[in-house]
Amino acid sequence: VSAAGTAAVAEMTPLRRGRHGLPPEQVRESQRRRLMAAAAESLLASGYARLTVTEVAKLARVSTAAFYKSFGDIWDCLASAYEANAGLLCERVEAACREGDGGRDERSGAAIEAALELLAAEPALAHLLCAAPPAQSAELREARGRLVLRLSGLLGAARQGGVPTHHARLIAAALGLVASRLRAEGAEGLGNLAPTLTGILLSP
Amino acid sequence: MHDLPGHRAASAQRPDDPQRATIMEAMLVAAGQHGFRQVSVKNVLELYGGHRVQFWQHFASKEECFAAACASWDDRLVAELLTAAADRPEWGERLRAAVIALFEFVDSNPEIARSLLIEAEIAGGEALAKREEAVDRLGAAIDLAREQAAPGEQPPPLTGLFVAGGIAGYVGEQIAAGTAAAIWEGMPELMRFATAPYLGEEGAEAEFEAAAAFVERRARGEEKQ
Repeated sequence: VSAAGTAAVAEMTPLRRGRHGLPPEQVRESQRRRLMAAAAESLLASGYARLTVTEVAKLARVSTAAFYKSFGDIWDCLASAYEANAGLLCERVEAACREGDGGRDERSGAAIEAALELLAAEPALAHLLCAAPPAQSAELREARGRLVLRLSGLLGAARQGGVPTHHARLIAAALGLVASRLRAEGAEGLGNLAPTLTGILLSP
Repeated sequence: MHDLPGHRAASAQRPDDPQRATIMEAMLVAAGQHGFRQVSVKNVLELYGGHRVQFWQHFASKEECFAAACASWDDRLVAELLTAAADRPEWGERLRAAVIALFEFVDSNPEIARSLLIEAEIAGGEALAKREEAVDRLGAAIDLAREQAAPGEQPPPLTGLFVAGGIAGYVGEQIAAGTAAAIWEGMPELMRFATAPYLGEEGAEAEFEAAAAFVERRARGEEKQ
């Protein structure tokens, strides 16, 4: 199990039963994190069509009443999970751009590889971030729009100019390709996308 | 989900059965209006106008009906796009013609387009597999441009799939955002995106300009609407 995978499992681990002496805010925060992780896992397992609050709460080992104390509905929970995981992905990419060896092109290539490595290690995260969000959830669509915007800003810097809308289209298509390959070949194959994405995204 | 096994007439199994085709179209329209999660067989019957027994004679569930409808209409849409592209001499023109045909399909069939491009992803299973197969086929057609590229200048593997998926994604985004009516405005940028991996920056800019000119002519009523 990768370091990232271990972290995801830890998110799902409930607090021990009985008196643990933790303040209510900490309990609530633990439940919230578990629910977000469970929503992503449940989405991967069941898809949008069969995703329910009951299933997510059960997987997180939280009551449905506790679910509704943290989130308004299933879309609210998924959108929060999306924001948190999108932040994680962007931090990985930004770190690779900033800290990698070599010139700009090498660091940009390393950033794409770092993103694919994270997505391959965390299929639930990959599916949540990359699959097209449902039309009925404006929150999810907006969260995806913010991810695309943030990544396309990084891509614009890597390409040293160009049209922002073009960069956004490239990033959206890259997310779509990851979702498609994830479904076709599983998470293990995502690393193989590096040459394709590097070739397309970083070419003028 | 209500599964009524019942006895299905032999004619009901035929893909070309007119009653079956009408129910499938009603399913896509209803799913486009309500979303796949919310749509019910009752919604389909309200649009179809027939008796519920007829639905269950053809399909065992909402999911089965939706998947069959997606399969049928995905095939039809892919055939329409490839036909639109077929008689154009240059690859860029063929791609532009296919994009125009796709946008016209969305204009004419907004609910069905939403079902094929968005709700299939929500439904998953066979419906999504069929959508992916359609994108694969279009990606393979797009990737024919690879043959014209000089050795060493060919785009990386899966470029056709990347482009076809990106075009489908753009249309899906517009429909989901409720801005499908403005779908044409993004066409020049979409053409730049789709052609850049094959034609490079200069060629893609030319395709951007050609698409922009088309959109202007269309806005003036000089292209068919």
